[in-house]
Amino acid sequence: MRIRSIEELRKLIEREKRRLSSYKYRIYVVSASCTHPEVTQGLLETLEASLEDIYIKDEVLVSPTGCLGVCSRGPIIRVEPGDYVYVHMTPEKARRVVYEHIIKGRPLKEYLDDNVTLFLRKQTRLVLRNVGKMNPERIEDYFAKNGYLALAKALTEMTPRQVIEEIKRSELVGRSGSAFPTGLKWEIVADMKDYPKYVIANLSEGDPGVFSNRALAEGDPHAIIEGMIIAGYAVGANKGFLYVRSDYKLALKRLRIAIEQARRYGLLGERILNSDFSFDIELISGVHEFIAGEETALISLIEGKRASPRRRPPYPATQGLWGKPTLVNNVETLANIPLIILKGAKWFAQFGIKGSKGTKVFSLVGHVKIPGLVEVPLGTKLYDIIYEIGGGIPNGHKLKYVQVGGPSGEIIPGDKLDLPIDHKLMGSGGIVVFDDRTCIVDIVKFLIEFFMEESCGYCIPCRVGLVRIYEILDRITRGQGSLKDLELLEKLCTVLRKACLCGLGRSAPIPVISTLRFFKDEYLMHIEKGICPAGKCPINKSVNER
Amino acid sequence: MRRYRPYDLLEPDPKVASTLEKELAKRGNPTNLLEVLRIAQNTIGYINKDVIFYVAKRMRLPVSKVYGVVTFYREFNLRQLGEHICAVCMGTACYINGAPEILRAIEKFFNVKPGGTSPDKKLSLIIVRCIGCCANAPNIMIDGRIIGNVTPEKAIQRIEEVVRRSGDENKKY
Repeated sequence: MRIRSIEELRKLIEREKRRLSSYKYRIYVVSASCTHPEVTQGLLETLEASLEDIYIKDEVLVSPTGCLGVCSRGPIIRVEPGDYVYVHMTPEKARRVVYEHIIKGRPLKEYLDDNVTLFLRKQTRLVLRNVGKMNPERIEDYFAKNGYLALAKALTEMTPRQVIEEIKRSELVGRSGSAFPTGLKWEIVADMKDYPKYVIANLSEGDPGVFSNRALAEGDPHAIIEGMIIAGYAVGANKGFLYVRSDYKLALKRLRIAIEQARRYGLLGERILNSDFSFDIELISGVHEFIAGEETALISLIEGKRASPRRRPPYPATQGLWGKPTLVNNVETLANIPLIILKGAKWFAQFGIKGSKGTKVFSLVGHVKIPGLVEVPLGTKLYDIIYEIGGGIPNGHKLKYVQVGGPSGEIIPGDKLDLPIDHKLMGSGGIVVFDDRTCIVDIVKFLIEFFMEESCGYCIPCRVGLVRIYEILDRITRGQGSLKDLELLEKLCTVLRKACLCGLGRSAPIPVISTLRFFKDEYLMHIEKGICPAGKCPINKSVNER
Repeated sequence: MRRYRPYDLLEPDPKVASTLEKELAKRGNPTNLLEVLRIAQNTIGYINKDVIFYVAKRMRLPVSKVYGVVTFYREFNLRQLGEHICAVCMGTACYINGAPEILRAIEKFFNVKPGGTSPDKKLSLIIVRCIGCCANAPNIMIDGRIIGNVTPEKAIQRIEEVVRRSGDENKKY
């Protein structure tokens, strides 16, 4: 089973490609945590049974696959060749798909959703390249997508320095929000002469409204693992930790399977592909803590301590896990690595705009017709994502504002949607669309409440400041605010921006600051007139009582 | 005057003690504190004072440190939870699509507060921030199973199904 050389891997890849193309049709049933396991199982069994009935079971492949990102239209079946996405499937409908599409070769128009087809077609899927196109629980399927070829290329044809140079040339930046140049980070770790070194892949994904990492891990776990091994090779680490939120049960299960399979093929463990390089990955899980997404907090967690961030510098790249040089990367960043190695930095740099290269998976949620995962090149305009891909706002409502980049992202009013999303704005990749039924003060209060609960309590500006901000916002929503409160709010936000220890506290006031800039009149309405225009705040009750 | 008993005198539940003994032989290193505590919690469902003292002693850590870790992570419970756990997602997408109404309905119907357990110890209600199924918002999670696109009525109905299945058919909630 062990793959001993790049030639052996190539042969395996050819064999798997031939096997897949030998099927006349390939039917993929979306099996992810947004669909019930029983429903998926039922669909798979129905499809198998109806194919057996007509004796063409050997010509058609039926396989589970990862989340396509259009969970709201589930359960979903995808038929290859041709990329037909059937939505809202039931066993009866699936049987009809078999009779009409598979036997007669006529795609069933009434089960296709044009909006969904456009939603998927208008994207540029690099990170999610294999999601929905392979069985995530079979490493052989990943081989058929040139899996682990990038690793073999890096190990046999490139030195660690060349790998780092290639990543640097691609201008890839971290995908979790800080947008730190990945190549530079790798170089700092590689330059350290302190051993052992560690690689940590971060799949803690705590941001409400963001689920791109979950879909990636559920749909293409091997891409993450391959990226991690290449990272280990480049920086000179032999041990990797993959941290996963424990409530992402399916992602955890699939990653565990993937690691075992990679070990069996000798792609993890001692002397990978008979080179001198050894690498192994340990899977670590813990119940979701937002703060664990911060790299130094994550290191504390792995060391078995309270997940409190540490003072930086020293950065983890020089003194991280157990005081050793540690590379901490988000899993989406790592999933980009195999592509860059295989196709080259130049190819990668054709996507995106100057200064922001590559693509980013955005989680488009909230009041939008097709909520889901959207992968587009950086620099794409917000308007295009929401209207061209997401289909606009449902139920005839108007878009009021959009929050880009997770809960601590900028809040952008509806008239500024022609803004291109670059690496500074993208944050963790959340795009939440709010329509005119929402109240801005209520939402900001909700976001601050979230940060208040998630604050680790280590530094005072964050621990106390967030409570004070929450109290002021609460007063305003109750109609007890004053103009002085707004001044105080601005002052507090400045303190938090400057004095907090980690990114949580420093970025938490961003929604407050940006709404005070764009929606000050709505705050004033609450304070001066005692009206909540959207009718969401408790203020309205007190007005009626008066 | 001693404020507390010396912890040599405190012995946890024998079931926990034997499980922990096995684990600690394998992983006595303080790095594995979270793992050890998790195993203790899986054995009896929560972590009590005895476990904290015991683990601290055996792992040669200050009690304050173990207690600090237990109280920091929300995965550790210091009290026994109900038979079933219902988590209401309060992520941004769920919040604007009506999660607060769902939460209120469950609170009222099952007589349980967020973070608490219903009087008959059948249901614990917790609030989570985003379970990563935002396209189907609002979501609730019953015993680890995610149910998307819920309304207050559907939420109550699904929880009742689960709670009823576990016994007592006639009892009105």
